[in-house]
Amino acid sequence: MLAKANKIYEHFDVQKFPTIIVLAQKDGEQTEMTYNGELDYASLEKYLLKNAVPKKPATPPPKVKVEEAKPQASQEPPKPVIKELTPDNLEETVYGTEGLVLVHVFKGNEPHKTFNEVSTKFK
Amino acid sequence: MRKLSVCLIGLLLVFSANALFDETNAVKKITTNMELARTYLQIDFLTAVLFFRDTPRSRFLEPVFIEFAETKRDYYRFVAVDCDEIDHDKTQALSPACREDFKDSLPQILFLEPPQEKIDLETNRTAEPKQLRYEGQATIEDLADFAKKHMPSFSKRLTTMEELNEFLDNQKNANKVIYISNKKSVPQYWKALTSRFRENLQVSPFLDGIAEFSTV
Repeated sequence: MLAKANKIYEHFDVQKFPTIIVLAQKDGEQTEMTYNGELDYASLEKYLLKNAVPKKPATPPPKVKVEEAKPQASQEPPKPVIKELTPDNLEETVYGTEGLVLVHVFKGNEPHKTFNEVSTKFK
Repeated sequence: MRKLSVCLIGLLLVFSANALFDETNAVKKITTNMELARTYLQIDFLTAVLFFRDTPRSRFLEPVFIEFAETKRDYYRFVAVDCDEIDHDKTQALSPACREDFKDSLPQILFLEPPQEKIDLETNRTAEPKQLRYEGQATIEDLADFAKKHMPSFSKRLTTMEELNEFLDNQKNANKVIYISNKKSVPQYWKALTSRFRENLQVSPFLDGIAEFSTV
């Protein structure tokens, strides 16, 4: 047990227990940082978000085609596409679409009243 | 006049019950099956789900649940399912808790424990959370004890120096975090962080590697 503790002392700059070590990419190199802040959720979350969460790549173009852009008279956001889901396109549509996806599952020809109202509004 | 007073008191009670959840942002109120389904599928934290109706028993439990949520909001997630509202949702019911024949068993608290793997390898579908029915006392202490007992950790447990080296060598340039301690278990704040930063499909930020190493 002691040998294991000694080895970890050698490996990292451990002064006390617990110690939190963060290995993060900075300017193309991996940097080792020892967290010295408060040991609570909020402080650690803030620190990790700042230092260890990979920066998001530029937003990829959405996989689902949005209707052809109309002349940009106003800066309104594009309206959502309402399409039929099939087992073949379900995964791509639901997980491959940027933003919020609303899926309406219904039986026979009885779509939900609220969905009809919403879809009419966005059509 | 008497009838009017009774109606007014009734309305006031309904308003009070719903207003409690509107006053806090620690509990997400759910009124449709679709929202409930989303809760089941997009789950990273241990989540306490209160199924309630506008009844005296529910009204008794609601403030306890809200206080529990407000004191433990960093560690768990909280939702309250309004079964009276769900009754108006004509889509197929997804949870038996709101069904008419279970009406007398409400309020009910269910804990959803997130699965260790996001995808169920057998079915190749999103893995479903484990459902744990709470049957303890309606006190914050008992609820907190139950939740603590079932709180998951998503950090890789390393027990030898070889495992530690392997973790460090794997994906050399990745972002990683390691919790090193001389205790056998990890604290709640760490477990909550592993939920927050675990590998995620789209929504939350994630680290490439989260591990815990104990010298004992």
